[in-house]
Amino acid sequence: MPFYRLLWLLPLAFLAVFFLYPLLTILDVSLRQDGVWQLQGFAALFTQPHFRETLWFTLWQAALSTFLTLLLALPGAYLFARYDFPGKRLLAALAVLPFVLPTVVTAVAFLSLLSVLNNALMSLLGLSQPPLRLEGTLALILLVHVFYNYAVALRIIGGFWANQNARLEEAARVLGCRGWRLWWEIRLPLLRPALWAAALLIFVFTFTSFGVVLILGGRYSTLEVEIYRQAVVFFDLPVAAALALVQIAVMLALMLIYTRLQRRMALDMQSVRSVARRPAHARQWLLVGGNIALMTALLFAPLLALLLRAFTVGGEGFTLYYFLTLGENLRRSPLFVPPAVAIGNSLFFAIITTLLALLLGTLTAYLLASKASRLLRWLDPLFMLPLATSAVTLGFGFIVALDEPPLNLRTSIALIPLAHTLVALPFVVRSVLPALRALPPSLPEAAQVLGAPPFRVWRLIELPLISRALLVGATFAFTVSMGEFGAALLITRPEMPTIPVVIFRLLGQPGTANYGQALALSVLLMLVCAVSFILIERLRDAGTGAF
Amino acid sequence: MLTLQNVRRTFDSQPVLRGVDLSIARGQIACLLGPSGCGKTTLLRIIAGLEGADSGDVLLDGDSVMRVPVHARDFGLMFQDFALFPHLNVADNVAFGLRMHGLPRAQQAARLHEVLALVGLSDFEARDVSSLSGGERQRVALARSLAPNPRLLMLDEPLGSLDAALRERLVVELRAIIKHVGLTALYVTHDQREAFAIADVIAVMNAGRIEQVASAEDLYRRPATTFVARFLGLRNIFPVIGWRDGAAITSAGVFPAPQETQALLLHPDDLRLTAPETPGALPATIVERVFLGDSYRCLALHNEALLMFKLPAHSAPPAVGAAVALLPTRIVPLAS
Repeated sequence: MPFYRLLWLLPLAFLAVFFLYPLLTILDVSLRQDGVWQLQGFAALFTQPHFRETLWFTLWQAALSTFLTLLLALPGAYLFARYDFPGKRLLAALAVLPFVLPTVVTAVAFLSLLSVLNNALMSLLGLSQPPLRLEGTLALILLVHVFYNYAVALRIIGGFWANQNARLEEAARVLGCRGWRLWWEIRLPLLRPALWAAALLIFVFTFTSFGVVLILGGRYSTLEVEIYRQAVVFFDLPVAAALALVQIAVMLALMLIYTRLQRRMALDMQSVRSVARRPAHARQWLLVGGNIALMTALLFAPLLALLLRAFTVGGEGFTLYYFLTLGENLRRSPLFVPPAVAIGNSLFFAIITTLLALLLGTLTAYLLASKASRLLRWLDPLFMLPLATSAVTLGFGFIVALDEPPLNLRTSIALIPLAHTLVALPFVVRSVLPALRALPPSLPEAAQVLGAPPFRVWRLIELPLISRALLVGATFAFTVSMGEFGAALLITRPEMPTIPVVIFRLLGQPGTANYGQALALSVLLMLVCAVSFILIERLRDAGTGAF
Repeated sequence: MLTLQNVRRTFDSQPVLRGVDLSIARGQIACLLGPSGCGKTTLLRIIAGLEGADSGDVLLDGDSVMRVPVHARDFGLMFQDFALFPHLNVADNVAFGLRMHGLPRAQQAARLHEVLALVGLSDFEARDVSSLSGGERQRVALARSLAPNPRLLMLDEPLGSLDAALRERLVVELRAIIKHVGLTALYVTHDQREAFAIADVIAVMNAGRIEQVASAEDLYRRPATTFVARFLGLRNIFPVIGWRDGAAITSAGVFPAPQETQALLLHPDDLRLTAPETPGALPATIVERVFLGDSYRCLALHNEALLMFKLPAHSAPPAVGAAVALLPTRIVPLAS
């Protein structure tokens, strides 16, 4: 075996030390205190109604969010699959933007939207009190969840629909089927795999909702938020560990079902020419127009409101004040750092994360793409595991596992890049793997026959061919690291916070100065994500790579 | 029974149908034959109601059906890819149309058994459609479109996705079943052999128009246009380059022909070797001879013209370079 094959051990070792070991430590912490086996943590979950309620709330808010998202996205998916209209491609691309936005930015954006709407309503109707008091309500949580996952539903269902054999529907019509029966007997049943896949994915995302609920949720709390509270606020590690285990179990089960469904969807997919047409009648134009209006209102109004507020907060017209003072510690508190420092921190962490994730992700992709051993097939799901583990759980795992020799990283600045690399790894693998699999083996073989040694074959032949995919993966990793909130909140060092953590801290403080700076930082982060997102969309060929 | 009147359709300013007229008698199997892109599938979809026409009319027993929506036309349509509903089993696929027509359950079951027996799939009721072979899928699709007893059965390249051997067998079977039920059918294909095997009458389409409507024999023996002759694979077509005393001048010689003739077909099946002194014989030199198994295909040069003819396998064919005389016994005038 050539020595370079040993490189494959690198990602395996990384996963073992920074993923499996923390996970096992969580298990250990939940089952054992001071070297004695006990089930205190789990007992608390079942005896205290608070935890039961949290679990119950987590479940039903996720189910409700999923249902609402599907309900709202279904007409959109239908129109995108069936109709061509001006700006369709642009709208489809933009609709995915919320998906890459960090939760803190989204939370701030919705707070901005609320205050913009309230201000407008108050001056319009002459009210003295803001009429929309949604902060801390379930409605707001659901709204943000729909905002986040609309694109997931739109892409999965719309894509499946557009690729579906249009003859099936025609066959049904010729046989006498029409109207609601067409929906009930043909369209929805045929869509079932896509509906389930989208529902499952959205359920996973909303089940592990953290930033949104923490910032906007008021008295509500999901499992994820509860893990954070128990670990950081109450420092009850056994309970936090037990909660984390419940979470991991649920996620694992859901991810297993999801991968199965995806395989089924691939089987059902038939490549047929697009049947999308221009709307013909006024009624169809109205449908299309109405849906575009709904999408715009849902997806872009919060972002526009964020921009508007960031430049007008304080009520004295257009101002750049909060952008210009990002370098100052307006609170003069020794605990706080100037926001500009956080920008530096985040960039620093993101660059390290990108490099690390790119290295490990590419090696992993090579490992999975090779047909070398049967062992590998068993490894494939292992590398997707971090995706099924929530960021808060990862952060928590780091806290309990990496705080004592031989691996004492408790105060190390390496913690955040390590955690972010774990989160970003699946994105890199998913970007690079399809490109590798599409690489014809005859190309490197031809280079070898022509006399190129292994490394030159890789550098001159393979690298140029997968460079686009690598760039997509790198952009993903960078964006993920810039916006990641849950893990960072748990493991960040107080004097070296990232942008999302600082935004969260600023939001927790009273006063316009803090709020203004939070808005300014959110706008910057949103721009970073938007630019990365455009880059990804441009680089990624249609059909290659998937979430 | 079915009448098309001047049906026109344009897609993105590209004329697809340029005025199609056609009549099909009750109980007849008609075939639309033409190369891909000639508009035959579009025409079928207009008849089914899945597409609209820009102008023209589709009449069924004298009444226009243009304003009748797809689901109310009571037509059967078999798609090229069969379009079996993947979420339903064989029985539910076949019974779908019966259910849509609101047939009582008992009658549904009876009709289901009847149709499945007809296509030879009696034991297949509970089978998943994804587990079927290509030929079985074709039968299920046929059973599904036959079940509601349609007023008109349309088949859009129904054997196109099957392999050649299976196709040859199924086309005969398909004709037998349609004739047994006594349906009027319209069959679309680009395959001449399929058309010849199944149809009572064939309409050859080219670039949005019908070039000729005839029985298979007439079509082959007396193609009306250059396109039809070429599409049927006939050689020895010579354009008319001038007229002399009411006779058409071609590179192969001068032959009497009606006035609008654009080209002449010296039918390869009716080009025989003959003695050089025979009146009307064309002197030629053999330039190519290929053994095909059941026959020889020979090419002979007469003046500037290459003439193709066949000789039986057991004959002693002339060698390449030999001088021969050929007698054309059927000269078909081709319009356009």
